[in-house]
Parts: sequence; C-alpha cells; structure tokens
Amino acid sequence: MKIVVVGGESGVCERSLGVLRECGNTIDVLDQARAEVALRTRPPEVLIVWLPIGIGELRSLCGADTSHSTYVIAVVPEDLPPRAISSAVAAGCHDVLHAPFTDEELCARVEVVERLRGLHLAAKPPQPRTIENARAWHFLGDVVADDLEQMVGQKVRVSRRASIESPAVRIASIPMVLATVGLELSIALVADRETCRWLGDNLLCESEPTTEMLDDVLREMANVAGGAVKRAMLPEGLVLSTGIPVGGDPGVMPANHTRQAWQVVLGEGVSLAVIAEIRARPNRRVPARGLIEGMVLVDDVKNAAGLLLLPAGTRLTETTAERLRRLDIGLVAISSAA
Amino acid sequence: MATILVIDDSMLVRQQVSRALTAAGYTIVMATDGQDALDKLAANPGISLAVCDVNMPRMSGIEFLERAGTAVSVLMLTTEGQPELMARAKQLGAKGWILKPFKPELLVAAARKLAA
Repeated sequence: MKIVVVGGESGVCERSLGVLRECGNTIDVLDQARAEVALRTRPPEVLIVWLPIGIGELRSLCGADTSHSTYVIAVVPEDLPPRAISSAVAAGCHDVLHAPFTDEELCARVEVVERLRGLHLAAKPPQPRTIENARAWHFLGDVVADDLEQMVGQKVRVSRRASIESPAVRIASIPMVLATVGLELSIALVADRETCRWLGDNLLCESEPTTEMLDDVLREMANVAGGAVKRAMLPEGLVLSTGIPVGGDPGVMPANHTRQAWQVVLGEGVSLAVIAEIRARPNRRVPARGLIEGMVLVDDVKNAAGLLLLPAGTRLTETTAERLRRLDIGLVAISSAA
Repeated sequence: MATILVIDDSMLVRQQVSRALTAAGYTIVMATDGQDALDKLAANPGISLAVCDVNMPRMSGIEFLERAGTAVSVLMLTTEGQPELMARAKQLGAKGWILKPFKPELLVAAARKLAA
C-alpha cells in the first residue's frame, strides 16, 4: 500500500518506516504542505501523522482528502493528554496509535486498513443508471415530496430535473448512516432567495425572516425529508441512523458522489432543489475514551456482564458518549458520518 | 388549562406546536433539547405533558424519557418510525408517538387525552 508519513521524531520514525517497508508498503515522508498536495492529487491509502501538530493543521490535512479514500492514523505520544485523542478523531483521523508501539502493532494497524478497504469495495454504493435504481430514486423523490407537501400545507410538484434559476442562498442537509454496511446517505435542500422569502411568509409568518430563522426552517424540512426516506426504507429491513440536520451558506455544495437531484416546486417561481447523495463510509474502531457526539455505533455495546448498554445504530449524544467514555470497554466500532 | 412542555431543537417546530396548542387554550413552556427540558421541568412543577422530539443535540428524547421517569406524561413528535425505537420509548413510559410532519388537530386531540 502507498503510505504518506507526516511528522515524527527521526529515530522512532525511521524504525517504523523500515518495518512498514519490510511489509511491502511504499512510503513517502512529506512535510504538511506537500502531504496536502499529495492527498488532493494522488491520495495514498494511508496517512500517518505524528502528533503533536496543531489541530488546525491536522484538520487541514484530513480535509485535503476530498476523495475520502485515505485512512488517517494519528500517532499520539504518551506525554500528550487524553483529550488529544478525541481532538484528533474530531479533526478527521480514523484511528489512533499510542507511541511507543511495537512493530507488530504498527503492521497490524496497516493490515486492518487493507481489510477495511476490502469491505469498502464489497459495499459499493448503488449505481443510479440501472432501471431498478432509477425507479428507486423516483420513489424516494416522491416520498420526500409527499412529506414536504404535508409540511407546507399545499400541493407540490416534483420535477426530475433540478435547477436553481436564481443563485442558491441557503442549504440544509441531513446525514443518515447505514452503519452495518458502511454507507452514508444524505438529503440536502437548496433554496434561492425567492423561495426563502416564500418559506418565511408561509411557514414562519414572518415577511422579513432572519438568516437564522431560514436556516432553522430548511434544517427542519431536511429532517422531514430524511424521515420520509428512512420510513420508506424500513420495509426493506434497512435501518438508517440519523444525525442532526446542518445548514448554512451553500458555498460548499455536495461533492461528486453517487447522487440524484429533483426539484420540488412549491409555487410559481418558488422551488427547492433536493439532492440525495450516497457515499461509502468505511466503519472504524476507536478506543471508548475517543467516543464523541455524532458517532454512530456499528455494533451493540454491552458491559462486562453482557448487558446491552446501547444498540447498534445509536447516534451518540454528548451524554451517551460521556457515559461510554467512562467505561472500560476497549475498542468500539463506529461510523462517524452522522 | 394545563401547561405543556414543547421540546424540539427546531424553532419552527416549537413555534408550530405552540401555535396549535395555545389556540386550544394550553400554556406553553419551551425547551431546545433533553437537558434543557429537564431543567425546565424542575423549574415548572405544574407541567402536565411534554411533547418531545427524538433526535436532538446534547440529550436525545429517549435519554430525556430515561431521566424524566414518571415525572410527566410524554408524547413523542418525531420523523422516526422505527418500531424498535417506538417500543423502547413505550417501555420508558412514552404515552404516544406522532410522526412529523404533523396535523395540528391530531396533536391537539392527543394533548386533550394526555394532559390531565
């Protein structure tokens, strides 16, 4: 596998690199700037980052992997406080390795990445071009429109071709995770200025709604759209875990993954673009002390006596994450998308 | 008339629920998540019903049910339709489950039944 390494004390780092090379991997040792270029242009399978580097720098490194194909391992020296682990995970790292570590441990971690990639490939997102999947997408478009129709209290029309004629001004999306197979599905709603004005008048009864109010309305509409999709998938035995809807400026539109878009026409010149996006999101294992709000449990979490604490698919809140961090339950399989 | 606690992280939903219940004569107290709801419940012992979302930041509706116990009747109002989740909420004492988007008349009817 191709591995990029950033940071690290030269002695320790050299020994580790030698071990990885012996296992048949190709290693590039790069500074942060060159590593970011590599992540954008020729993403490696694995990025190993030796802490301490600033969390901002770490976030920037993880964010440079726009193809979401690189597995990031943070190496945490033992003199760093425990919060360094949760900060590294929050910055986008997939795994944490405590230094000092043994050669076997390092090789095992990299081998795990290879296995995860195998699972990732086995769980390819559906291809929308087949007839069956096109029907499925149309079905999802209709169930989303039905619930939005109830929410706005008037008849809406669905167009299979999405286009925002005037510039998009607000966006909200809801992330959902099918944790058992490592897939993320998100539904985003995009509104232009005229549509925002209409939503303010009709749902908030405010002729001059603030940006905060509009974001709240769009987030709730995304939440309702997500709920419609989740319920439509239940009869197929697919249980999606939901996150909290996020919204804001549409500067960053959903990236180029498997996606489908519709236009939900609310009235004359007033419509919402609905973008559904599916992407593979490999699950990972983190130490219980690294659990944070928003992570979704892939497996049931049980205590030492075998008592079920939280079922698979649970999205951790601040309080449940805190409760699990206090328990000695080792590594926990999670999906961080939601 | 009874006092109802409306728990939802969406301002729009809090506003829509309040509008429907206020028109039916109820007094409304609002909370933005489960933790806020526990605080409001402690500060307002006269609350007879909570209308509660499931997915919220900080503390979810299910955790609120766990913590609130039998202190108040709880009606869930959510986009979730998972049978396991509904069963869990029922086991924890939830008295009803309404799906979003909701019909105001249905919500008021449920409130009339549950808010003693």
